[in-house]
Amino acid sequence: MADPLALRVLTAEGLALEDQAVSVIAPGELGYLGMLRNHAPLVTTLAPGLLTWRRSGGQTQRRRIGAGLLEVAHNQVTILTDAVAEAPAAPDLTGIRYLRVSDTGKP
Amino acid sequence: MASLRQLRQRLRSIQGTKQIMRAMQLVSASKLKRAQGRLLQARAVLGFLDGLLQRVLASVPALDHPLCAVRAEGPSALVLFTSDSGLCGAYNTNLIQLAESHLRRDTARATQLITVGKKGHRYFLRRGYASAASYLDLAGRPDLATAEAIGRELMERFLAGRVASVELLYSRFVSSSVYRPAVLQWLPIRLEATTESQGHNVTGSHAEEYIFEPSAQRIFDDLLPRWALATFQRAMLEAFTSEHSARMIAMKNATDNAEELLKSLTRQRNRIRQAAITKELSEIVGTAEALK
Repeated sequence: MADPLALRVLTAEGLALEDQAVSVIAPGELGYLGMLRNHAPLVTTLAPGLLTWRRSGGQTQRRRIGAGLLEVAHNQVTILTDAVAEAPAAPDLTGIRYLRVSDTGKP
Repeated sequence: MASLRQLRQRLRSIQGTKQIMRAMQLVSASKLKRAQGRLLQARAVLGFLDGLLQRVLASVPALDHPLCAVRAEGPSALVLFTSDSGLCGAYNTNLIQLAESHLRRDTARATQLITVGKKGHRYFLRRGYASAASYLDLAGRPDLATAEAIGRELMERFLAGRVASVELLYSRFVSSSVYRPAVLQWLPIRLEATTESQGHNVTGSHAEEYIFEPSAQRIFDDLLPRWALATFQRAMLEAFTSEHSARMIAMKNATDNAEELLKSLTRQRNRIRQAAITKELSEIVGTAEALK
């Protein structure tokens, strides 16, 4: 399947990152909002937070972004923000399952 | 006619100068490349903001913001972007000339002059026209944080009502050899002007319904200062890019001139040297003849 959403992040210095995504989750001022293909044209203000998007391959990308503006129209998501930074690594949840197994009392 | 020794001295000094000119040309070329990259990025950002602004205005035309407030009274401000250092041909002269004619035109309202760059500042200081504020020693470095700080200060000056309008006088970068002085009405922001220029777009593709969250007014309030700052930053980047381009061209001309001078002086030196040799030879031959 073709990548359905084009994602562009701009800062005052110019283009900070450009990617193709299946879904995008952005920190809107009123709360996080998710976008898929054929989202209605929307403009919103952004609060500082975590920008997450999923590529067609299934990998999830995360970045921390500052306050700014987001526009989505014609499957093009454009974000203008004050700053972009690498996000902390996602918490590793694999250990929790092993904990459950040992909880059953088996040796 | 100059003596051989004098000629040699001159040749050496011109050679040194030429080397310096060439080095400066190369430095300017690399600075120009960097500044040009930044400028293109800034233009892209501003393009996005422009489009967004038009879409917001197309949906909700009756929006207001303090940055758009038109005041009849009060002085206007003229921001003059010049370079800090010289050796860039007619770059500063052209800008200063335009600024002078601009200042002369509106004598009725006392225009506040704000200078960015030493050249303009010094020129007007010498003529008894003190600038209301000056930002010096930026050295043509396209530093966006500095540009933003200056832009914010000017915006506050406008919002506080100390000036009724702000105009930017800078050199617009057209291509790597063409730059033109231009005056841009910056504040108050004329929304009609920004939408009218692309009016066909507004009625055409952007007429579709947009959802604005939390509200169009809130987005407008957020958008407009950003737009203003981006415009200011772009003006500054245009000025700096033009400066490097002007300096590069000036230094290239200087290098070429030095080369030409070197060529003619070398020829002259060779002729004198040859004459000296010929003279000496004929003296030796003459002496040998006499001794026979």
